[in-house]
Amino acid sequence: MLQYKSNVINTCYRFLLDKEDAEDISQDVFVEVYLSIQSFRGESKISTWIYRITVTKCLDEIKKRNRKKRISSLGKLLHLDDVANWIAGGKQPDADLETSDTMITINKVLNQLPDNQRIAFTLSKIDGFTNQEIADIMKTTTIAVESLIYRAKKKVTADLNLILKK
Amino acid sequence: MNTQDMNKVMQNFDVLENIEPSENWEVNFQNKLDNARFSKSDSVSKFNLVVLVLILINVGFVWNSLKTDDTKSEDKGTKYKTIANELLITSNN
Repeated sequence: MLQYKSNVINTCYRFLLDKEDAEDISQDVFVEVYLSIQSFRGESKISTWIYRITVTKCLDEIKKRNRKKRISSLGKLLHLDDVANWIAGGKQPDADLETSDTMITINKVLNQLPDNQRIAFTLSKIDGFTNQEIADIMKTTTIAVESLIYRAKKKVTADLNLILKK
Repeated sequence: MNTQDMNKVMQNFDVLENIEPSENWEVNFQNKLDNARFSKSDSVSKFNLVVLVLILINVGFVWNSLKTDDTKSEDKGTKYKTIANELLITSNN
């Protein structure tokens, strides 16, 4: 099972853009895998099942972050800076990434994407994931995946344009 | 902004280097797994306890209603006897 460890961590990293969070969530993924292995009915490949759990966990984490960010913004609006910082937990894409500014921008843009476009787009950027595998993970067809990636690219380009123009 | 800038931004995402799990990964994972197993078995035993209490309450209700029904049927029996006796008296008269 742990042979997928490296791939799971790197998939999490692509979604979360933070090493610590990627490690943390990847551990949660394997905890769930171990606890619910009996419910795995073998309808798909085990790797597909593991990546499906990974994607779900990452999206949950992203939603949690966004929720915290909203509460934190509200705190700042009410001049409760300490509370806002405490709630936000200072989480941004990796500070030690050389291109962290760029990563913050990319993170902003990716946050604007609908969940299914984000999953398809992010997985397509990871080596080794074919459109068929992405389709299996997302329980959809390859044509739908291609369409999702195309729409995601279009939106990312448009949003990047807007952000970089400012 | 030109296409070059944008490509540069996207390239940073495309060529994001793979990370290696830290040395503590296994230890932290094992701790999380142990905690999850413990809390799972704990929640299972709590669930069993709740089910047991519900069954006991249900048995109590059933037993109580059976007991009440017995009394009622006894009451009815006495009533019928009285009526029958009265009828007998009336017919004798």
